[in-house]
This record gives sequence, C-alpha cells and structure tokens, in this order.
Amino acid sequence: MNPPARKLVKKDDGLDALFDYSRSVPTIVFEDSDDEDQHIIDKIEVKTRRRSSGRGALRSVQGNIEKPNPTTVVKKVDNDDDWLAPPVRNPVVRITLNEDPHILKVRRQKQELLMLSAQMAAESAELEAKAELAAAEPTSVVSNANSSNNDNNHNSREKIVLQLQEQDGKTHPVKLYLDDKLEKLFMIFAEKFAKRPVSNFTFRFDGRALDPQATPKELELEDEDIIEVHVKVSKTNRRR
Amino acid sequence: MSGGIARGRLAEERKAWRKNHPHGFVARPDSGADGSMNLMIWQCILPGKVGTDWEGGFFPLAIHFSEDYPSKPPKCKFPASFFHPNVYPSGTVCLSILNEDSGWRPAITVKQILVGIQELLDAPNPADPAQTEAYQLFIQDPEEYKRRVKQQAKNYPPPV
Repeated sequence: MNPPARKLVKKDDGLDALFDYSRSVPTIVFEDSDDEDQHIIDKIEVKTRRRSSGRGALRSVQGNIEKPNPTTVVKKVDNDDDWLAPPVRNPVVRITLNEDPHILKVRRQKQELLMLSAQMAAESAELEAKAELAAAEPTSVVSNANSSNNDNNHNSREKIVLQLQEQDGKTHPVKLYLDDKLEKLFMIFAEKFAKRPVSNFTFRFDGRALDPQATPKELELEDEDIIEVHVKVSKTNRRR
Repeated sequence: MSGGIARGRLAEERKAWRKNHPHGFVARPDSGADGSMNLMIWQCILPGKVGTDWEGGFFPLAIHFSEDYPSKPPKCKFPASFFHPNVYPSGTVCLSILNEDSGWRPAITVKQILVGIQELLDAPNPADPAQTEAYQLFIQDPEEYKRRVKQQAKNYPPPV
C-alpha cells in the first residue's frame, strides 16, 4: 500500500517528469570524461567493421582448424599483417593488442592440432603394427620352431611355463621349450625340487598321466598350465 | 543369447581352472568321439578329503550346465546310487549352493562347486536327506555308515 501512496505524493509535487536524475545524470558525466576516448573507440569500431572480412576469415580459419589447412591459415594471417601496418598509431597499437591473442590462439590451436594428429597417426600406426605382429606371431613362431628342429637354433624356439603342483599345493614354475619332451620337465622336478628318482612320481594333466615322450605342443599345453605331481602309491607304501 | 553367455563364462572357467586348481581335482569339458569339446558338460574327479573316511577315493562327478548358466546353477551328478545322505538315488547332489532358490549365486565358480561338494562328502546335512539308505545308516548306525563310506572309497581308486 505504501509505494503507490508515495508515487501519488510525487506526482502531486509535479517534479517527477522534469528531474529524472536516474536517466540524465550518468550520461552527462560520461560524456564529459570519455569524450577523447570515444573518438578512438569509434575509429576502432569503424576499422574493425571495415576489416570485418578479415575477422570473418579468422573465424572461418578457426572453424577450418578441425580439418587443418595450413596454407589458408598462413595466408589470412599475412593479409591481416599487411593491412595492419599502415593505419594511425594509437588504434593500430590497440588493434594489434586486440588482434595478437587471436592470432596466437589460432597458431597455438593449429600447432596443438597438428601435434595431436601426428600423435594419433603415430599411435594408430603403432596399434596396427602391434596387431599385425600379434596376428603374424604364432605362424612365424611355428615356422621358426619347425626350422629350429633342423637348425638346432634354440633362441628362436617358443617357450612355455608349466606349473608343477605338488600334493601339498606347492607349485614350481618351470620353463620349457614347446617342442621339448616332457621327460625333461620330469627330470628337472626330480633332481631340482624332489631330489628323488623320477620313477617315484607320475605327472598328470586333466587327471591323465603324461607320456614322457610327448611334447607340450603335441598335448596342446598352454602357458601356466598346472601339471600335478603324484607320488606313486605302491612305492610310498613300500617306503613307509 | 543366454547360451552365448553360458559358453563364454564356461570358456573362462576352463581357462582359469587349467592355471589354478586344488591338487587331485579334475574338471574338464566333455569331449565327443571326434575330439570336439562340449563346454556344457564337464567330467570331474573329486578326491576324498585327506584324514576322512573318504580319503583314497576319487569320485567321478558330471556337471551339467544349462543355457541359463550362470543365472541358474548347474546340475551335479555322481554315478547313480552313490552312497551319501544328500545324494539322490539318481546321483544328483543336493546342496544349498547348487539350489537356485537358496544358495546359488552366478559368481560361484566351478572350483568353488567342486570344493563345496568335497566338503559335503564328510559333512552330510541330515536336515536335507535325499536318499533313505545312507540317511538312515548315518542316523541310526554310524559304524555301518562308516564301513560303507570306506568301502565306497575303495571302489573309486585313483585314476591311472
């Protein structure tokens, strides 16, 4: 209820329309102080408007950067520089100050983009190479293994790690060539870990006793497969 | 769709098993006459726990997985008329973790199933009998029950 009452009072004074300070005062103050600068600002605005084709070009360059086109970028920047040289000092200084960050930004973005695309190209090339290697490896290794049988070239033969698991759960990882006879694995266990004759033990995979003359490759054993070591029952009974 | 999930999971289970399993246990997918592998049926061997009347026995167990595995539990079967209070005359194992409505969770592994059944052998659950013969002996004649268990262990010697 109060505000309308005040308004009513003011209207009664009849002064409201004549002295609307809220609108008139600020403009008066600024017009005085900013007079000189206002010229410059006007000029700049005019120049920038004239130059608007240049700005448009810059913007389009920024848009183009996603599919980088170095030649156009360079050209546009050069054009701007050519244009920037002649005009009056103050505005020029201001304009270059205004302009530089844009150019710098564009250049930075361009560099970043180029670096990124280079990185991505390198990465994808690496991935492709890895994939090709992975795809090629098994066959090449097989061919190596085949040739190594003839050449006795031990370095190029594929190795496999088998886990010898004892009755108490203890496991011994042993590295073996894929084309080695399992006999070798059994001997390693008997001499190195059990320190008892190999005849005391049977070695099983999937519950089946393994043939000492077979190779991991023939049995399709995989890396880290468990080979269970069983103490032969009859012998231990005699022992005990 | 679910069959794909079951097979994928079983391939993983098999992979994990080859690289890590308790000594003496066997668990391998069934292989057909042509040597092809059937991941939906596994042939397993459970060793009787050392220090129990079941020691020395290597009990064959078949695990049948459905297309709904692992949402639904597999069916585990000993040979028919296997002597144990919680094994049906058909050989099917009655165990809470193998029951869809009670203890089964899709995260339970083949290894956990086999170890769970090995535990069950020497710790039958009299609250949930599945056959009369073993159940009644277990309750009424512990001596005879023990004798029968040891006899059965001898009937399943270690694999050659």
